[in-house]
Amino acid sequence: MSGFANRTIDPAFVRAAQRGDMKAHEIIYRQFADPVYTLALRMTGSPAVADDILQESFVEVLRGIAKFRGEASLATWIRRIAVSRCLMHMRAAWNRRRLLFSEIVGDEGTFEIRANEETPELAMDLEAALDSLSPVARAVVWLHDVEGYTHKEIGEMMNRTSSFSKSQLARAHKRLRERLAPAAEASAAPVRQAMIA
Amino acid sequence: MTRSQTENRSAEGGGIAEALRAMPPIAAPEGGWQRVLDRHETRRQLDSRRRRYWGGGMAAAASIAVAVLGLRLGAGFFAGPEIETDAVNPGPEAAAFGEEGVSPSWRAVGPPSRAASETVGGITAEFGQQLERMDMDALVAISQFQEQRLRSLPLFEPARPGRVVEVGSFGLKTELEDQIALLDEGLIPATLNAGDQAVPRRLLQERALLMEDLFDLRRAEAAEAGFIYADF
Repeated sequence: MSGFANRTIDPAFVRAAQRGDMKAHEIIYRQFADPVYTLALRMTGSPAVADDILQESFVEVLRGIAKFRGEASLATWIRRIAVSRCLMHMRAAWNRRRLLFSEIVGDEGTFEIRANEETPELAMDLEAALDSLSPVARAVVWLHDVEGYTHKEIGEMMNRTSSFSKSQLARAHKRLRERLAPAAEASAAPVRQAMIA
Repeated sequence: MTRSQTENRSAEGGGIAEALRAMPPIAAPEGGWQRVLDRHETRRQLDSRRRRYWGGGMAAAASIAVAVLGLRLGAGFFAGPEIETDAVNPGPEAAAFGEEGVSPSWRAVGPPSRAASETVGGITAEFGQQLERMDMDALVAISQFQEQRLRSLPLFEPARPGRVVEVGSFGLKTELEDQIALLDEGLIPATLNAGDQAVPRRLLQERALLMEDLFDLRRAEAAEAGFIYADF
């Protein structure tokens, strides 16, 4: 998970940040930096790009928090900014060229694989499987399955239709199952079997 | 996310969704807050520079250009002017960047000076003043020069597998590229054929400033990655 759902912040800090209190901004950053970085890393697959998106997102928070009206939670607002930044990265012309090149040469992505303490092999398998997806498919999977966006919302964010999101997700799930099946067969771990059920 | 939504997602993913949600969050790199502050300051300086040079003029010019663009959409007005590419002596600064040549109107103006004492957001005040004095031909010529100079930089790949480098300027670079693309794809071509040259002139001046920002960032990235010397 990205961890946005578990993060709350005292509204007093939000009001202070809206008045320009930099200490309050720093508290907000420390509360939400990990979820934003996790989201960006899962969506882009690159630690360097994820770090950049993290910074860009919080520059936008700094510049825009005065306009935050509190209609949604601060976590939802910040997550929306981070998702927009990730999609902007994917749309950038120079990056489209890179992605095209990556598809030709087989870019497997480079983010560091961190083992889950409870199910280390599972976490590593899943990381590798996720990384094998195309950037768009990976983004759709993460936005839908983890962040809870609907197909309609994902389609709108990507300037596509909800059908596009659905088909991307279905193909991605199929690919993930294919990638994970051999590992699951080699293990009797119940959780892994549930993944391919 | 509601319980029923979660169940729907589980059904769609065949258990994959739960496994993805169970993946642990990842700690953000150390020192991130200071980098946010630094970047915020850089952005503030860039904004300040733009306000200083253009005031409300640029916004007015953009508004006019958008209006013109709206009128000309669908009328085949996007075929921009032919840009001269005949090779001439490019001058000392162009030679330093390995230029093959720039148009004659460039020579009449001369390359932009980057040695003025006052620097705002990485661009000298003198450069902005030079742009103010340039006519349309010179502005087109400087665009050519800037494009060629940018292309002469090594291609930088921040997300290339196995390469670990700082790409602190990516977001800003994307923003600059988007703004330049906006000017190139619509605003400038749509206004170049209009009777009043004041609007495209303003837009070309803005483009030149954006290109300088972009070049500075690309050069810094390349230098940081060890592709070129910092004083390239």
